Amino acid sequence: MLRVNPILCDAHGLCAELVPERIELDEWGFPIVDETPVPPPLEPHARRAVADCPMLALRLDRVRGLPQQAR
Amino acid sequence: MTVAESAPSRLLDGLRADGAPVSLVEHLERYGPLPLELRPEELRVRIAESGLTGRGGAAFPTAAKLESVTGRHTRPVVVANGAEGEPASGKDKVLLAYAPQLVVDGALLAARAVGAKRIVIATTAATHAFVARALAERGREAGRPAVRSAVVPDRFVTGEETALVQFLNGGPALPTFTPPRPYERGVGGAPTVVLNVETLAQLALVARFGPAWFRSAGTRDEPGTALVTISGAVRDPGVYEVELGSPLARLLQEAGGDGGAQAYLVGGFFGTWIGAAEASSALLSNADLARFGASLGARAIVALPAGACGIAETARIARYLAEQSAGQCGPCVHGLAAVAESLEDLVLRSRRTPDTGLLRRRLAQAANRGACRHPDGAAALVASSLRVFSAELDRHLHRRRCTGNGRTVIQLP
Amino acid sequence: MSSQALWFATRGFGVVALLLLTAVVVLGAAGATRWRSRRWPRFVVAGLHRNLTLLALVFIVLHVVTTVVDGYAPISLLNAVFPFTSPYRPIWLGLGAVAFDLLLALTATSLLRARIGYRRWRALHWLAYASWPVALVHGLGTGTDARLAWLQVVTLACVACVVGAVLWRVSGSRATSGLRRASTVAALAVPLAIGGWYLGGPARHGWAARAGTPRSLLVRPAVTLPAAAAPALPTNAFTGTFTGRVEESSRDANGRVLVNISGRTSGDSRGVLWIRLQGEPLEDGGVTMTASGASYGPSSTPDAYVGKIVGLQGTRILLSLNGSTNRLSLLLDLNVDSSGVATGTVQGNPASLG
Repeated sequence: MLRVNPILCDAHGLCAELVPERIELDEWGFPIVDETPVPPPLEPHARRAVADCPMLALRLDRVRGLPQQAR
Repeated sequence: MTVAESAPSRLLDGLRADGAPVSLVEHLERYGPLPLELRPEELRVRIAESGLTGRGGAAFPTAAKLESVTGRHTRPVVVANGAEGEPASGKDKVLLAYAPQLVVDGALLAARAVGAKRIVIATTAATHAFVARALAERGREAGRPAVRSAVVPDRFVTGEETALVQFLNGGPALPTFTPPRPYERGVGGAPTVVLNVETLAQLALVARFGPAWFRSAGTRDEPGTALVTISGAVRDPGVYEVELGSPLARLLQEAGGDGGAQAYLVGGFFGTWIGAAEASSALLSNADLARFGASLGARAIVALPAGACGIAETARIARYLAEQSAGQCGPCVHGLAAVAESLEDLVLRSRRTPDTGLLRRRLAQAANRGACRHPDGAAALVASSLRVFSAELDRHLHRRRCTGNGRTVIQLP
Repeated sequence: MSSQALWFATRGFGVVALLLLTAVVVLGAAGATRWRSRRWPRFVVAGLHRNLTLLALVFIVLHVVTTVVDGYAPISLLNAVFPFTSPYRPIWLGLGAVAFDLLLALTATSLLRARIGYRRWRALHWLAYASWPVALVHGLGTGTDARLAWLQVVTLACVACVVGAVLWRVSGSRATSGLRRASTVAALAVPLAIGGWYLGGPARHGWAARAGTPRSLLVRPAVTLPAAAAPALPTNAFTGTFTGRVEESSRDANGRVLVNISGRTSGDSRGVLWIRLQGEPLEDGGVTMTASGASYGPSSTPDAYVGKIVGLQGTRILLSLNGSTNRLSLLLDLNVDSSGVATGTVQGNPASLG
């Protein structure tokens, strides 16, 4: 699942552009992250968002015990 | 602030009449020696069986906290949290000022239980001298863990676990992102268990007198006693020791509440409002208070008199909380400021039409988006005010006369 | 590949790299100021900034390779990364190596950003603002066509873009006002300084020699001659004898050789003569000349006359040299023995300049 480190985040907004299925921006440009697990088809986009975040604030964590596929 | 006694008196039992801190000799006379014959595992079992939960706000089972740092390959560190950032709460200061030896006892026993060789007792400048003196009385004994006392800044977020750990590590007293949590990597990189000073004082008694004694007060899920600070519209504000699960009404009576209060802030500024009717049936336990969306929190209760405006008070508290933000996370900095502004608009009845829908949306969006729970707490407080003071809210929305007439009574630092 | 083509390629790749890096700086500023438009979301700006840098690196590598392969100037691959080590225009070429090193460091740290952490990456990335002007000065200082009009236009356009980008970046910055003022001043002062240097340096005649081009490659007289020159040389035709050495280098990557003829004349005119020619060796032992340089003058000013070979037949060499006040034709007739010692006659024919 995607998680943002709110201390590092500086509202650049690339994550919401790259993974709109999980992230949308509030009125000040900060991400509201849906912590539903990321299914395999969405994973490459999630990884790209993690790599592209200018502040390295986004992480993709393993969801323990839950299957990666959201049913 | 006066210190008074309530039904069962345990922590506040041995207090001196002249208000000076209990000396080591008096302390040992009252409570007996430290039960050092107990092995670490036995200590942990005692604490687990007693059902002791944290007295700092989160009410986490203490035994579980101790287990989380035991058995790791690095020696853990014990931190006694006497920061008490909640302005409406004074119980930790009272405990440290009057019975510091109990806290030191608890810290030593906790260290023994988890195999720690380092203890830090963190307090604000106001109570530091009491701790220093208590430690000096004990002197240094061979085999005892190294105890140092640290002075921490007097800000709202300082008492937050990760903020305290970061400060002790030489950084700013601001919360950090987790993982790692302090029990994984804390002071000096070691697994750290942070315990409220009252929890430690209770622990010191549990170790001596056993779980059965501890459970003789309180409820099954929330056993024991707790210190509660009560202030606001009561005749005798102060720190009281109450049995968990006892009626709030009894405490109010003890403190000289005139029954005319319109609402109570339960849990301090990090807590939520409950109405007078709700308060009349409420018990001092998290299980019961949950009915009203409240919890004991920092165990601070503020009574709001009848002639005050709940919205105006909440507006001032919201502004205080916005200013006390660590300032690290956008959603908190912007969100709390916007919420405070909305409330101020409501109170000042400015030209702008207050948009309560926007306010509620912002409150809903505040949860779980900061590095700590500060925005969550502030949002919950404001949301509860909209519920409890709905009539007052209505008056402000329709520009009718405010009950408080523009005056506020709750003291802010 | 002919030297001409390689020279064009080198210059071309260099200019393209400069254009790409200009775009990279502009995109970097856009990213930092959080600019976006409907067709350019933030991730496109960020992605393009990264990809154009990689593309620029490719062009720089091509630029370096074509320069090294074209053996015209004595530049090796190592000179491209170890600054100031080349014998050809060491300072100005060296700056290219500095810029290249900086770019490699910037790229490497950006690709490994997750490992080195944000703060360290950020601190290093400021070097980007240093690498661009360094690359520019390298281009103007090293390029043999720094005076071409179209190149001046392109350069000005790039400088304008970068200055604009920096000022834009500063205006959107949250840094202290002192830092912002300093950055604005620098953004304006640095291009002006470079412009001043350019007008006084590469834009003027004779830059090639001042820049440190090895004498052997100064095909045209590019040195301004001291006013008090050649007092001992005759103003009339003269003859004399020549004694000296002939040295031939080994073949370079293009199969060409460099031939050095140096020695002294005596008789009517006493002086130091120096000739260098580059060519492709022939089977019978001679060379087909591709470039040449020559100088002649008294010991005190051996380059009083500078010029090139205008005729070559076997061991007869005709030189055309220019001095400060007149021209000089020298005809050399040499005998070269197996050890490289050369002896022969020299005939000189001064003529007026013009």
